[in-house]
Amino acid sequence: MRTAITRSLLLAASALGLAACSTPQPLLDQANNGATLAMSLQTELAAFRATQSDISQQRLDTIRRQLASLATYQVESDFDDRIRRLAGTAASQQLYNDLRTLADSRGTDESALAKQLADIDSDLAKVLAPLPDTAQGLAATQKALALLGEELAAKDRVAAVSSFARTVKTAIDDNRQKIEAARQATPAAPVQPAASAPAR
Amino acid sequence: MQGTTRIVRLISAVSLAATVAGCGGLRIHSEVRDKQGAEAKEAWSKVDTATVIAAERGNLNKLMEAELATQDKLALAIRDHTLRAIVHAPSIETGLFQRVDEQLTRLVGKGGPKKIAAALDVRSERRTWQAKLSDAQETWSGFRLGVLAPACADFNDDATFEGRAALAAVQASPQEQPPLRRRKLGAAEALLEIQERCKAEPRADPFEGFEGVLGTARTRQLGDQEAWAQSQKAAAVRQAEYRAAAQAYAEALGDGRGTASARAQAAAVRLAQAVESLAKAPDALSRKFISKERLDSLQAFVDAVTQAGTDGKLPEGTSKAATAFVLFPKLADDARKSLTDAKAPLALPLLIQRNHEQLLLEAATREVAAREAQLRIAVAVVETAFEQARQLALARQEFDSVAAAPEVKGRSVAESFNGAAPTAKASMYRGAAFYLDALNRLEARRYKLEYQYIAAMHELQLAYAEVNVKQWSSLIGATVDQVAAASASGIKADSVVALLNTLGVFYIGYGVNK
Repeated sequence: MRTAITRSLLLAASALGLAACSTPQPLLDQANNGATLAMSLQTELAAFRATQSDISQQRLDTIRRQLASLATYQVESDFDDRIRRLAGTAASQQLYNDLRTLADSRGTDESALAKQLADIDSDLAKVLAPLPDTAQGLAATQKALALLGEELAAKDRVAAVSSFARTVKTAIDDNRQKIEAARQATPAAPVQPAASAPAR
Repeated sequence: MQGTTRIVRLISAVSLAATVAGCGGLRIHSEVRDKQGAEAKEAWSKVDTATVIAAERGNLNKLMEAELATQDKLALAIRDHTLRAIVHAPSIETGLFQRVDEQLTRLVGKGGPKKIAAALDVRSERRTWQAKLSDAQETWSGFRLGVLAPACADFNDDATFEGRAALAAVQASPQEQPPLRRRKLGAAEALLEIQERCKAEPRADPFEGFEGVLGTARTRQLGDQEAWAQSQKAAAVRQAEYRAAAQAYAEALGDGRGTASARAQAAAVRLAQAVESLAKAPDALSRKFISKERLDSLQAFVDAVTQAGTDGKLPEGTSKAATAFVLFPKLADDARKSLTDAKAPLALPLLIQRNHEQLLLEAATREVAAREAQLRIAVAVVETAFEQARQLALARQEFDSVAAAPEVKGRSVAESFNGAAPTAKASMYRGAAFYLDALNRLEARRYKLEYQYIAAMHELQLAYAEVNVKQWSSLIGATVDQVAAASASGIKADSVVALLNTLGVFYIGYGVNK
């Protein structure tokens, strides 16, 4: 894919270069530079997806374990219910219903506490918001700078971008280390265990 | 396939950009170039990394919601399952009372009720102290000296900036008008009161000696808190050195000899070291701070350059703009090269550098936000575990009050509930409700908080991965967008020459970076 893209790029660049002016070498340099940058973007996009996929997998695993546990309780409870019905323990069933309703009623007093949780959610949501689009925010600066940029030669443009590519690469390598450190430091998700062995 | 198409479009865009920029003599506005520039921009805009990232983020959020909702269901199922076993248990002691004890021991270790009572006392003492401190701080604010009421941390070993500001604010001078002097005297008394209160701060840890779930959560919380406090302290030291170095540099520039003097050069070296220390710091607070400073100084530099008059006179804020050369040694090199080679302006490096810094700032800001969220969640986990334990201790208290009654002792759970006298029955229902609630609602809350704690760690990884993508797309985008803008605007040669003349002043200025 890389070769095909580079070929397309060179074709496009040559065609446009010949049509527009007579300095093909800087043009080709810039074109090659553009191809390298595009590949770098693809690589980082893949790395982002890998990170996202790793996190998704962890969350799915937790949900799977939660659901497996949930299903086990459901099966046991259903069987228990059938036995009790046959045994005719109406008084116990009534006590079960009463205590269940009573305990649930405490949950309805949860509103103030739920707000606390919602606040944490909203804190996290702020953190989770997508990054601002720098291209949009910089319109004014770009307009102001456009005046200065007009006479920049292609070779200078290539030099500027490729030298910044090194700066960006350094920052990205730093960030990769931070991602790995955070990944290592992330604890495994626990799943709620049973209260204790049921007394029979 | 779609990705390949996008890449081809992207490359075409860059090629178009190269074409537009490639010829040195573009002096007149051209419809053709304008169209090419616009097309390049359009093609690039279709390489939509933002949408890809938003979609991936959306999926993760949905999974998080499912994780939390399933936890609620699981806690409810465990509660109901346990309740079934309880109501049919042949002995109230093993069927109910022991369950409460076991849960309590799991949460806080042995001796739960005593530990919980002691913790409640310590918290109550702290609340009383906090209320008195707040009163003294309100009194301070009432004197309106324009300085925030200091907190106890401001008077610790090394007084903070806020602490020093408060002390300075109450210093009276003979030239001041009597009303102001009176306010300062009043504030000085309030300050003394605050300091006294701070000395009397109750230091006892309410959770001292707790084991089990709460003990583990508390150890984690203290560890996180300590690590954060150390980061804050280290960042404060680095920032203080930076501020001092920046001030020394500004003073050196102000002595009329520009940046060429030995004093200015020495100040620039010190400032550069302070910047390096912040930028390479392991803590996100330092990196956030320096990225913001760099961004501001770069903006000041851009403003100074683009707002310069055609007479070559420098606009206001130029000394601040000159700091950009120290904050960005590379910028100085670029400027030198550009000016040596004559008409090769700085626009592109400036624009790219600005985008780069903006993203570094965003990454650091997100790390700070994620770590702060984690700190809050770690506290909430401890509080929830304590609330669970407190509720279990209350349940045990209710059961203790009826355990010896003949209609309860040694009987089955159903018999006990049916046979007890009304007052005893109320205690039993209350106790059971506390226990079941701790098992369902509070246990679910604690687990959900654990998932959110982990999510904050995930966010940290995602933020950096996302910024890495943005760094490249920004670098490509800057080229394309700027070329499109330049193509549309045409050129005013006179203005460029005047601005280059203005830059010449900076050229003298950045000699220190040689």
